[in-house]
Amino acid sequence: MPRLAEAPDEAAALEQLHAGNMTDGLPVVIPTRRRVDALVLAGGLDGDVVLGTVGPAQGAATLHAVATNAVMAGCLPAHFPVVIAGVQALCDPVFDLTEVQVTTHSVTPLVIVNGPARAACELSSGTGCLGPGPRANASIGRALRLVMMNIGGGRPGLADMTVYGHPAKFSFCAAEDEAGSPWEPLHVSRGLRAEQSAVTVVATEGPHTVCCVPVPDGLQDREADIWISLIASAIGTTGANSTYFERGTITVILNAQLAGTFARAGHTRRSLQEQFVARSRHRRGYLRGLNPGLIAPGADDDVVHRDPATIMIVVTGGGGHYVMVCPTLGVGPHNNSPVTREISINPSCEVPLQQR
Amino acid sequence: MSVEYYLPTPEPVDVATYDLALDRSRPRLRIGLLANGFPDGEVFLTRLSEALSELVPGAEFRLETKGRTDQLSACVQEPLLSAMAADCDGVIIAWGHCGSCTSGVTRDGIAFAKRGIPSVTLICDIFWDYSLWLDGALGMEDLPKVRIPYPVAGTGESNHRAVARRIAPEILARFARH
Repeated sequence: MPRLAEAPDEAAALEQLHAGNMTDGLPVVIPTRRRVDALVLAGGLDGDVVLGTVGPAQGAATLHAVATNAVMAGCLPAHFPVVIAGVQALCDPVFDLTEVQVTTHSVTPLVIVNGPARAACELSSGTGCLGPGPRANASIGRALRLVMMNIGGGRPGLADMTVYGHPAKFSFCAAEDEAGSPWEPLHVSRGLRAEQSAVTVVATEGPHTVCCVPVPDGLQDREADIWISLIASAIGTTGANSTYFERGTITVILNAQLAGTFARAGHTRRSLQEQFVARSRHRRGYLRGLNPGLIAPGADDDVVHRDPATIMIVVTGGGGHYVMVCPTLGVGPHNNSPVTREISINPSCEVPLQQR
Repeated sequence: MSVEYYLPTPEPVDVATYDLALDRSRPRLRIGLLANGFPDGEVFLTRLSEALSELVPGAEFRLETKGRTDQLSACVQEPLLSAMAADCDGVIIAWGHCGSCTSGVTRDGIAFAKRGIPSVTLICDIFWDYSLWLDGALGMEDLPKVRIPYPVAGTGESNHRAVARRIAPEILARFARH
């Protein structure tokens, strides 16, 4: 049964939530009955339906509990179907959420939304889409973080043992720029149909910005090739867990302009993934010289192998010559595999949608 | 006017209490040493077996490594779990040396407890409170554990020997407590 608390007013309720370690440190919207009920209605399911189990606490993510956290994050009813799919994705065992939560690493879920839900929620895939600023992006990403903290127990110093944390752990969500992308949408590349809406969660570090400036005259025909090597150097950064462990999915975020350059050079998502892998590999002996604790002796001339499918390419962002590369943790029984879940937009959510 | 609001946290889970003890009077006492794959785990457990041998003459040890450096959070799997449960009177699990490690070794302790095998888990002090929280979150309170400094991995053989000698009596005490 959902548990209720009482306070003299909303300001006092906020202080109670802060004091109870139930916030992310920022002010939250107080999850009153009326606000939570509106989101439960938008979910189109009963409040006691369990969407998944959230590690490491193994807390039951009931629709009601998720709605409570989504209200706190500032979500509107229109956002809630995306939050639901996001929680289901996080709770998929192959995502290894417990490992993502408890590690001393700084890994956090990056949330990418595809399909018609992007417009319904007014999710941004433009300038500054990863924040701060766009309300839906910030609120949906924050809702998932609050679920991880309050239902999964991932509070800093208690069960979230990240050495430093980082700002993307507050919220890390964007839509894909499907209109600008030269390729099939991300969720289609992962087996869904274009007319479906979907959330994809992928465990990432904070992004590293790669500067892909236009090449000088005479090199234009090699521009895509030059940038692939440059981006690959960031993918294979020798400080990242994922370089040593050969597993975990590394995310490359391109805007439509840069993606177009690669497409005009004949690249598909798949061919780009293959090129990134081919140009980011290191020999075991070299890596062991840098970090002896992570590479066992032997077979020094062997190249650390990575499956091209473990490079996720996302097209989003505004104009400019920067690419972002997000290495990853790559630890867990399923190597923190990304998960894509369909967003179910139930007819019952039309009422709250119209009340926005 | 007062405000009524929902709490965003779930109800507490049912928690069992660990109630096992190692019978040190058994002839041919067999102690399992389970390393989780974090660097130096096997090396430290070897030093620990040497220290324990001085306190429990005749004890035999079985050293195993459950996983790789990138699988630290995974619980011990079959067939190793059954093999150690069948062969060992108690198990020492090393170690909670990072967040993922601490999650994994706590699950190991619970897995052995569910097989009726007492265990003691080694936890670095910076992960100690987290490990206590995990016990409750994972449904088994009072799992025996011994606090070790952070770090022990990478501090060299002489420090490994010193830490092993220092904690060996405490490990035996924790094995016998219930």
